[in-house]
Amino acid sequence: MKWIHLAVATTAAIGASAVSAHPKLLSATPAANATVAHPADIELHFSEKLVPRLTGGDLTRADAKVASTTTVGADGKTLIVHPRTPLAAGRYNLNWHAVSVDTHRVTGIHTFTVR
Amino acid sequence: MPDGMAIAVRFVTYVDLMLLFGIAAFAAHAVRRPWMPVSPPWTWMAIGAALGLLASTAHLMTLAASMSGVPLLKVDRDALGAVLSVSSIGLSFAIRMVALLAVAACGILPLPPAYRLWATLLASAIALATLAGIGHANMDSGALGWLHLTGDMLHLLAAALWIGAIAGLLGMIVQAHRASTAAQLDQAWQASAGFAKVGTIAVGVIVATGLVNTLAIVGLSGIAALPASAYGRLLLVKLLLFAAMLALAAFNRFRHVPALEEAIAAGRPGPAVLHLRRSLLTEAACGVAILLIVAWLGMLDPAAVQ
Repeated sequence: MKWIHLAVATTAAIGASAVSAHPKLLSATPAANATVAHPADIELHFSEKLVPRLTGGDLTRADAKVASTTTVGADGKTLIVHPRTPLAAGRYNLNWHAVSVDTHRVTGIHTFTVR
Repeated sequence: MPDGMAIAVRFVTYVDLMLLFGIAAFAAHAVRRPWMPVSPPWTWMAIGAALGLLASTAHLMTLAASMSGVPLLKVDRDALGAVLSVSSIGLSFAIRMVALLAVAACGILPLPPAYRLWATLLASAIALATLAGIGHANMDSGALGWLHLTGDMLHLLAAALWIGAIAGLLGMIVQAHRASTAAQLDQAWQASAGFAKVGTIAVGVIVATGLVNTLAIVGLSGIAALPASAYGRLLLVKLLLFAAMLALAAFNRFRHVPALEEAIAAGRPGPAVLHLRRSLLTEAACGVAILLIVAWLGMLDPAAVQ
Protein backbone atom coordinates (compact mmCIF):
# COMPACT_ATOMS: atom_id res chain seq x y z
CA MET A 1 0.00 0.00 0.00
CA LYS A 2 2.95 2.28 -0.63
CA TRP A 3 1.08 4.23 -3.27
CA ILE A 4 -1.45 5.37 -0.67
CA HIS A 5 1.36 6.92 1.37
CA LEU A 6 2.67 8.57 -1.77
CA ALA A 7 -0.79 9.90 -2.62
CA VAL A 8 -1.30 11.24 0.90
CA ALA A 9 2.14 12.86 0.94
CA THR A 10 1.57 14.44 -2.47
CA THR A 11 -1.83 15.73 -1.47
CA ALA A 12 -0.43 17.21 1.75
CA ALA A 13 2.47 18.81 -0.12
CA ILE A 14 0.15 20.42 -2.65
CA GLY A 15 -2.33 21.50 -0.02
CA ALA A 16 0.35 23.09 2.12
CA SER A 17 2.10 25.05 -0.60
CA ALA A 18 -0.90 26.20 -2.64
CA VAL A 19 -0.88 29.87 -3.42
CA SER A 20 -3.36 32.24 -4.96
CA ALA A 21 -3.27 32.24 -8.74
CA HIS A 22 -3.16 36.04 -8.96
CA PRO A 23 -0.16 38.07 -7.84
CA LYS A 24 -0.68 39.51 -4.35
CA LEU A 25 1.20 42.36 -2.76
CA LEU A 26 2.74 40.68 0.30
CA SER A 27 4.82 43.47 1.77
CA ALA A 28 6.54 46.71 0.87
CA THR A 29 9.37 49.01 1.99
CA PRO A 30 8.49 51.63 2.98
CA ALA A 31 5.40 49.93 4.39
CA ALA A 32 1.96 51.20 3.42
CA ASN A 33 1.16 54.59 5.02
CA ALA A 34 4.50 54.59 6.86
CA THR A 35 6.54 57.72 7.48
CA VAL A 36 10.23 57.20 6.69
CA ALA A 37 13.42 59.16 6.23
CA HIS A 38 14.72 59.33 2.63
CA PRO A 39 14.25 55.83 1.18
CA ALA A 40 16.66 55.08 -1.69
CA ASP A 41 14.26 52.64 -3.35
CA ILE A 42 10.67 51.59 -2.97
CA GLU A 43 10.26 47.82 -3.06
CA LEU A 44 7.00 45.91 -3.45
CA HIS A 45 7.13 42.16 -2.78
CA PHE A 46 4.60 39.97 -4.60
CA SER A 47 3.49 36.37 -4.20
CA GLU A 48 4.29 35.35 -7.76
CA LYS A 49 6.83 35.70 -10.55
CA LEU A 50 6.24 38.89 -12.49
CA VAL A 51 6.59 39.77 -16.17
CA PRO A 52 9.24 42.56 -16.09
CA ARG A 53 8.11 44.24 -19.32
CA LEU A 54 4.53 44.57 -18.09
CA THR A 55 5.19 45.47 -14.48
CA GLY A 56 5.88 48.99 -13.27
CA GLY A 57 4.51 52.04 -11.56
CA ASP A 58 4.25 55.83 -11.50
CA LEU A 59 5.45 57.69 -8.44
CA THR A 60 3.67 60.97 -7.71
CA ARG A 61 3.89 63.66 -5.03
CA ALA A 62 1.03 66.13 -4.78
CA ASP A 63 -0.19 64.93 -8.19
CA ALA A 64 3.16 65.76 -9.81
CA LYS A 65 5.08 62.92 -11.39
CA VAL A 66 8.41 62.05 -9.78
CA ALA A 67 11.06 60.87 -12.27
CA SER A 68 11.90 57.26 -11.49
CA THR A 69 12.89 53.96 -13.07
CA THR A 70 11.27 50.61 -12.34
CA THR A 71 12.83 47.17 -12.44
CA VAL A 72 11.95 43.68 -11.26
CA GLY A 73 14.34 42.27 -8.68
CA ALA A 74 16.53 39.21 -9.08
CA ASP A 75 13.96 37.01 -7.32
CA GLY A 76 11.47 37.85 -10.08
CA LYS A 77 8.82 38.75 -7.52
CA THR A 78 9.89 42.22 -6.41
CA LEU A 79 9.01 45.50 -8.10
CA ILE A 80 11.76 48.05 -7.39
CA VAL A 81 11.10 51.74 -8.02
CA HIS A 82 14.25 53.87 -8.06
CA PRO A 83 13.75 57.67 -7.94
CA ARG A 84 16.20 59.57 -10.18
CA THR A 85 16.87 62.12 -7.41
CA PRO A 86 16.55 61.71 -3.61
CA LEU A 87 12.96 62.07 -2.46
CA ALA A 88 12.01 65.36 -0.82
CA ALA A 89 9.76 65.45 2.22
CA GLY A 90 6.10 64.88 1.46
CA ARG A 91 3.40 62.35 0.83
CA TYR A 92 3.93 59.96 -2.12
CA ASN A 93 1.61 57.74 -4.13
CA LEU A 94 2.98 54.82 -6.10
CA ASN A 95 0.42 53.81 -8.74
CA TRP A 96 1.65 50.30 -9.52
CA HIS A 97 0.65 47.54 -11.91
CA ALA A 98 1.94 43.99 -11.84
CA VAL A 99 1.40 41.10 -14.26
CA SER A 100 2.24 37.57 -13.20
CA VAL A 101 3.51 34.88 -15.56
CA ASP A 102 0.11 33.16 -15.21
CA THR A 103 -1.27 36.11 -17.24
CA HIS A 104 -3.15 38.10 -14.58
CA ARG A 105 -2.84 41.85 -14.14
CA VAL A 106 -3.35 43.51 -10.76
CA THR A 107 -3.04 47.18 -9.90
CA GLY A 108 -2.94 49.25 -6.74
CA ILE A 109 -1.86 52.44 -5.05
CA HIS A 110 0.86 52.33 -2.40
CA THR A 111 1.09 55.42 -0.20
CA PHE A 112 3.92 56.53 2.13
CA THR A 113 5.35 59.73 3.54
CA VAL A 114 8.94 61.01 3.54
CA ARG A 115 9.76 63.29 6.46
CA MET B 1 -15.67 41.41 -14.19
CA PRO B 2 -13.64 39.76 -16.95
CA ASP B 3 -14.71 40.85 -20.41
CA GLY B 4 -16.98 38.72 -22.56
CA MET B 5 -14.77 38.94 -25.62
CA ALA B 6 -11.83 37.28 -23.90
CA ILE B 7 -14.09 34.54 -22.51
CA ALA B 8 -15.64 33.93 -25.95
CA VAL B 9 -12.23 33.66 -27.59
CA ARG B 10 -11.00 31.22 -24.94
CA PHE B 11 -14.20 29.19 -25.31
CA VAL B 12 -13.87 28.88 -29.11
CA THR B 13 -10.19 27.93 -28.74
CA TYR B 14 -10.97 25.22 -26.17
CA VAL B 15 -13.88 23.72 -28.14
CA ASP B 16 -11.92 23.75 -31.38
CA LEU B 17 -8.71 22.18 -30.05
CA MET B 18 -10.64 19.61 -28.00
CA LEU B 19 -12.70 18.51 -31.00
CA LEU B 20 -9.61 18.25 -33.24
CA PHE B 21 -7.84 15.86 -30.88
CA GLY B 22 -11.03 14.18 -29.62
CA ILE B 23 -12.32 13.32 -33.09
CA ALA B 24 -8.90 12.11 -34.29
CA ALA B 25 -8.68 9.96 -31.15
CA PHE B 26 -12.21 8.67 -31.70
CA ALA B 27 -11.29 7.63 -35.23
CA ALA B 28 -8.28 5.80 -33.84
CA HIS B 29 -10.06 3.90 -31.07
CA ALA B 30 -13.69 3.62 -32.16
CA VAL B 31 -13.90 0.75 -34.58
CA ARG B 32 -11.53 -2.14 -34.84
CA ARG B 33 -11.24 -5.00 -37.24
CA PRO B 34 -13.14 -6.75 -38.69
CA TRP B 35 -15.18 -3.58 -38.98
CA MET B 36 -14.04 -0.74 -41.18
CA PRO B 37 -11.84 1.85 -39.46
CA VAL B 38 -13.50 5.22 -39.00
CA SER B 39 -11.87 8.00 -40.93
CA PRO B 40 -11.99 11.54 -39.49
CA PRO B 41 -13.77 14.08 -41.71
CA TRP B 42 -10.51 15.36 -43.20
CA THR B 43 -11.86 18.54 -44.76
CA TRP B 44 -13.46 19.51 -41.44
CA MET B 45 -10.22 18.73 -39.63
CA ALA B 46 -8.39 21.17 -41.93
CA ILE B 47 -11.10 23.81 -41.41
CA GLY B 48 -10.96 23.20 -37.65
CA ALA B 49 -7.18 23.65 -37.69
CA ALA B 50 -7.57 26.93 -39.59
CA LEU B 51 -10.19 28.07 -37.08
CA GLY B 52 -7.80 27.06 -34.30
CA LEU B 53 -5.07 29.27 -35.81
CA LEU B 54 -7.49 32.21 -36.00
CA ALA B 55 -8.85 31.67 -32.49
CA SER B 56 -5.32 31.32 -31.07
CA THR B 57 -4.30 34.60 -32.69
CA ALA B 58 -7.38 36.27 -31.19
CA HIS B 59 -6.52 34.61 -27.85
CA LEU B 60 -3.05 36.13 -28.00
CA MET B 61 -4.53 39.57 -28.78
CA THR B 62 -7.01 39.47 -25.86
CA LEU B 63 -4.23 38.23 -23.59
CA ALA B 64 -1.99 41.12 -24.65
CA ALA B 65 -4.87 43.55 -24.03
CA SER B 66 -5.64 42.29 -20.52
CA MET B 67 -2.01 41.88 -19.49
CA SER B 68 -0.92 45.32 -20.65
CA GLY B 69 -4.13 46.94 -19.42
CA VAL B 70 -5.21 48.49 -22.74
CA PRO B 71 -8.35 48.02 -24.88
CA LEU B 72 -8.23 45.27 -27.50
CA LEU B 73 -7.90 47.74 -30.41
CA LYS B 74 -4.94 49.47 -28.77
CA VAL B 75 -2.78 46.34 -28.68
CA ASP B 76 0.47 47.09 -30.50
CA ARG B 77 3.68 45.24 -31.29
CA ASP B 78 5.18 46.29 -27.97
CA ALA B 79 2.34 44.75 -26.01
CA LEU B 80 2.45 41.55 -28.08
CA GLY B 81 6.22 41.37 -27.69
CA ALA B 82 5.94 41.82 -23.93
CA VAL B 83 3.37 39.02 -23.63
CA LEU B 84 5.40 36.68 -25.83
CA SER B 85 8.48 37.49 -23.73
CA VAL B 86 7.01 35.29 -21.00
CA SER B 87 8.78 32.08 -21.99
CA SER B 88 5.85 29.74 -21.18
CA ILE B 89 3.43 31.85 -23.24
CA GLY B 90 5.74 32.44 -26.22
CA LEU B 91 6.66 28.75 -26.37
CA SER B 92 3.04 27.61 -26.01
CA PHE B 93 1.82 29.79 -28.86
CA ALA B 94 4.74 28.89 -31.14
CA ILE B 95 4.28 25.15 -30.59
CA ARG B 96 0.51 25.43 -30.99
CA MET B 97 0.77 27.29 -34.31
CA VAL B 98 3.19 24.71 -35.75
CA ALA B 99 1.05 21.81 -34.48
CA LEU B 100 -2.14 23.32 -35.97
CA LEU B 101 -0.38 23.86 -39.32
CA ALA B 102 0.55 20.16 -39.21
CA VAL B 103 -3.09 19.20 -38.51
CA ALA B 104 -4.22 21.37 -41.43
CA ALA B 105 -1.58 19.80 -43.71
CA CYS B 106 -2.74 16.29 -42.72
CA GLY B 107 -6.31 17.31 -43.49
CA ILE B 108 -5.42 18.55 -46.98
CA LEU B 109 -2.60 16.27 -48.18
CA PRO B 110 -3.55 12.74 -49.30
CA LEU B 111 -1.04 10.92 -47.10
CA PRO B 112 -1.23 7.14 -46.53
CA PRO B 113 -4.27 6.67 -44.20
CA ALA B 114 -2.40 5.22 -41.21
CA TYR B 115 0.31 7.91 -41.17
CA ARG B 116 -2.29 10.57 -41.75
CA LEU B 117 -4.31 9.55 -38.70
CA TRP B 118 -1.33 9.08 -36.37
CA ALA B 119 0.30 12.35 -37.45
CA THR B 120 -3.01 14.18 -36.91
CA LEU B 121 -3.45 12.53 -33.52
CA LEU B 122 0.03 13.55 -32.38
CA ALA B 123 -0.16 17.12 -33.73
CA SER B 124 -3.65 17.77 -32.33
CA ALA B 125 -2.62 16.36 -28.93
CA ILE B 126 0.35 18.73 -28.84
CA ALA B 127 -1.83 21.70 -29.88
CA LEU B 128 -4.35 20.91 -27.12
CA ALA B 129 -1.67 20.40 -24.46
CA THR B 130 -0.24 23.88 -25.12
CA LEU B 131 -3.41 25.34 -23.60
CA ALA B 132 -1.97 24.32 -20.23
CA GLY B 133 1.10 26.45 -20.91
CA ILE B 134 -0.92 29.64 -20.49
CA GLY B 135 -2.66 30.56 -17.25
CA HIS B 136 -3.16 29.11 -13.81
CA ALA B 137 -1.08 25.99 -14.42
CA ASN B 138 2.00 28.25 -14.56
CA MET B 139 1.62 29.89 -11.19
CA ASP B 140 3.82 27.49 -9.22
CA SER B 141 7.50 26.85 -9.58
CA GLY B 142 9.63 23.75 -9.12
CA ALA B 143 8.27 20.21 -8.76
CA LEU B 144 4.77 21.40 -7.89
CA GLY B 145 4.78 23.51 -11.06
CA TRP B 146 5.62 20.52 -13.23
CA LEU B 147 3.02 18.36 -11.48
CA HIS B 148 0.38 21.05 -12.00
CA LEU B 149 1.36 21.56 -15.66
CA THR B 150 1.42 17.83 -16.45
CA GLY B 151 -1.85 17.33 -14.59
CA ASP B 152 -3.47 20.13 -16.55
CA MET B 153 -2.28 18.68 -19.88
CA LEU B 154 -3.56 15.18 -19.03
CA HIS B 155 -6.85 16.72 -17.85
CA LEU B 156 -7.28 18.47 -21.22
CA LEU B 157 -6.40 15.35 -23.23
CA ALA B 158 -8.72 13.06 -21.23
CA ALA B 159 -11.60 15.55 -21.43
CA ALA B 160 -11.08 15.86 -25.19
CA LEU B 161 -11.11 12.06 -25.48
CA TRP B 162 -14.58 12.07 -23.93
CA ILE B 163 -15.97 15.09 -25.80
CA GLY B 164 -14.56 13.87 -29.13
CA ALA B 165 -16.18 10.47 -28.58
CA ILE B 166 -19.56 12.09 -27.91
CA ALA B 167 -19.21 14.09 -31.15
CA GLY B 168 -18.05 11.04 -33.09
CA LEU B 169 -20.79 8.77 -31.72
CA LEU B 170 -23.41 11.41 -32.42
CA GLY B 171 -22.13 11.67 -36.01
CA MET B 172 -22.32 7.90 -36.47
CA ILE B 173 -25.76 7.63 -34.87
CA VAL B 174 -27.19 10.45 -36.98
CA GLN B 175 -25.75 8.93 -40.17
CA ALA B 176 -26.99 5.45 -39.27
CA HIS B 177 -30.42 6.82 -38.45
CA ARG B 178 -30.60 8.62 -41.78
CA ALA B 179 -29.31 5.73 -43.89
CA SER B 180 -30.78 3.01 -41.69
CA THR B 181 -28.58 0.33 -43.21
CA ALA B 182 -27.87 -2.70 -41.04
CA ALA B 183 -24.10 -2.30 -41.47
CA GLN B 184 -24.06 1.34 -40.34
CA LEU B 185 -26.34 0.64 -37.39
CA ASP B 186 -24.13 -2.24 -36.35
CA GLN B 187 -21.05 -0.04 -36.65
CA ALA B 188 -22.67 2.72 -34.56
CA TRP B 189 -23.66 0.21 -31.89
CA GLN B 190 -20.20 -1.37 -31.93
CA ALA B 191 -18.54 2.05 -31.49
CA SER B 192 -20.90 2.97 -28.65
CA ALA B 193 -20.25 -0.32 -26.85
CA GLY B 194 -16.53 -0.05 -27.56
CA PHE B 195 -16.27 3.37 -25.93
CA ALA B 196 -16.95 1.89 -22.47
CA LYS B 197 -13.31 1.02 -21.79
CA VAL B 198 -11.76 4.21 -23.21
CA GLY B 199 -14.45 6.27 -21.47
CA THR B 200 -13.73 4.70 -18.09
CA ILE B 201 -10.01 5.44 -18.44
CA ALA B 202 -10.75 9.02 -19.52
CA VAL B 203 -13.06 9.62 -16.54
CA GLY B 204 -10.47 8.19 -14.15
CA VAL B 205 -7.78 10.51 -15.51
CA ILE B 206 -10.15 13.51 -15.44
CA VAL B 207 -11.06 12.94 -11.78
CA ALA B 208 -7.47 12.33 -10.61
CA THR B 209 -5.92 15.27 -12.47
CA GLY B 210 -8.86 17.53 -11.63
CA LEU B 211 -8.26 16.83 -7.95
CA VAL B 212 -4.52 17.58 -8.21
CA ASN B 213 -5.13 20.80 -10.17
CA THR B 214 -7.82 22.06 -7.80
CA LEU B 215 -5.59 21.39 -4.79
CA ALA B 216 -2.70 23.14 -6.51
CA ILE B 217 -4.83 26.23 -7.20
CA VAL B 218 -7.01 26.64 -4.11
CA GLY B 219 -5.26 24.33 -1.64
CA LEU B 220 -6.71 21.94 0.89
CA SER B 221 -7.86 24.82 3.06
CA GLY B 222 -9.47 26.53 0.08
CA ILE B 223 -11.89 23.65 -0.61
CA ALA B 224 -14.23 24.60 2.23
CA ALA B 225 -14.14 28.24 1.13
CA LEU B 226 -15.18 27.46 -2.46
CA PRO B 227 -18.81 28.64 -2.11
CA ALA B 228 -17.56 32.05 -0.94
CA SER B 229 -15.89 33.05 -4.22
CA ALA B 230 -17.20 33.42 -7.77
CA TYR B 231 -14.40 31.07 -8.82
CA GLY B 232 -15.49 28.46 -6.30
CA ARG B 233 -19.17 28.66 -7.19
CA LEU B 234 -18.41 28.27 -10.90
CA LEU B 235 -16.14 25.34 -10.09
CA LEU B 236 -18.97 23.69 -8.13
CA VAL B 237 -21.38 24.18 -11.07
CA LYS B 238 -18.74 22.61 -13.31
CA LEU B 239 -18.54 19.60 -10.97
CA LEU B 240 -22.35 19.23 -10.99
CA LEU B 241 -22.34 19.26 -14.81
CA PHE B 242 -19.55 16.69 -14.76
CA ALA B 243 -21.63 14.48 -12.47
CA ALA B 244 -24.58 14.85 -14.87
CA MET B 245 -22.36 13.79 -17.80
CA LEU B 246 -21.17 10.81 -15.80
CA ALA B 247 -24.76 9.77 -15.01
CA LEU B 248 -25.76 10.11 -18.67
CA ALA B 249 -22.72 8.10 -19.77
CA ALA B 250 -23.56 5.34 -17.28
CA PHE B 251 -27.16 5.38 -18.50
CA ASN B 252 -25.97 5.02 -22.10
CA ARG B 253 -23.63 2.21 -21.25
CA PHE B 254 -25.99 0.11 -19.16
CA ARG B 255 -29.34 1.02 -20.69
CA HIS B 256 -29.38 2.67 -24.11
CA VAL B 257 -26.53 0.76 -25.78
CA PRO B 258 -27.75 -2.74 -24.71
CA ALA B 259 -31.28 -1.66 -25.75
CA LEU B 260 -29.92 -0.70 -29.17
CA GLU B 261 -28.29 -4.12 -29.54
CA GLU B 262 -31.60 -5.83 -28.75
CA ALA B 263 -33.52 -3.49 -31.04
CA ILE B 264 -31.11 -4.16 -33.93
CA ALA B 265 -31.51 -7.90 -33.37
CA ALA B 266 -35.30 -7.48 -33.31
CA GLY B 267 -35.17 -5.48 -36.54
CA ARG B 268 -36.80 -2.32 -35.08
CA PRO B 269 -33.91 -0.04 -34.13
CA GLY B 270 -35.75 3.28 -34.61
CA PRO B 271 -36.79 4.22 -31.03
CA ALA B 272 -33.58 2.88 -29.47
CA VAL B 273 -31.49 4.99 -31.85
CA LEU B 274 -33.51 8.09 -30.95
CA HIS B 275 -33.09 7.46 -27.20
CA LEU B 276 -29.34 7.11 -27.55
CA ARG B 277 -29.19 10.21 -29.74
CA ARG B 278 -31.14 12.32 -27.25
CA SER B 279 -28.98 11.12 -24.38
CA LEU B 280 -25.78 11.89 -26.31
CA LEU B 281 -27.07 15.35 -27.23
CA THR B 282 -27.77 16.12 -23.55
CA GLU B 283 -24.30 14.86 -22.64
CA ALA B 284 -22.79 17.07 -25.36
CA ALA B 285 -24.72 20.11 -24.07
CA CYS B 286 -23.31 19.52 -20.56
CA GLY B 287 -19.82 19.24 -22.09
CA VAL B 288 -20.21 22.55 -23.95
CA ALA B 289 -21.46 24.23 -20.75
CA ILE B 290 -18.40 22.92 -18.89
CA LEU B 291 -16.06 24.37 -21.53
CA LEU B 292 -17.82 27.73 -21.25
CA ILE B 293 -17.23 27.65 -17.48
CA VAL B 294 -13.58 26.68 -18.05
CA ALA B 295 -13.13 29.65 -20.39
CA TRP B 296 -14.54 31.88 -17.64
CA LEU B 297 -12.72 30.29 -14.68
CA GLY B 298 -9.29 30.96 -16.19
CA MET B 299 -9.98 34.69 -16.01
CA LEU B 300 -11.01 34.77 -12.34
CA ASP B 301 -8.92 35.06 -9.22
CA PRO B 302 -9.41 31.80 -7.30
CA ALA B 303 -8.71 33.56 -4.02
CA ALA B 304 -11.03 36.56 -4.44
CA VAL B 305 -14.05 36.38 -2.15
CA GLN B 306 -17.04 38.03 -3.80
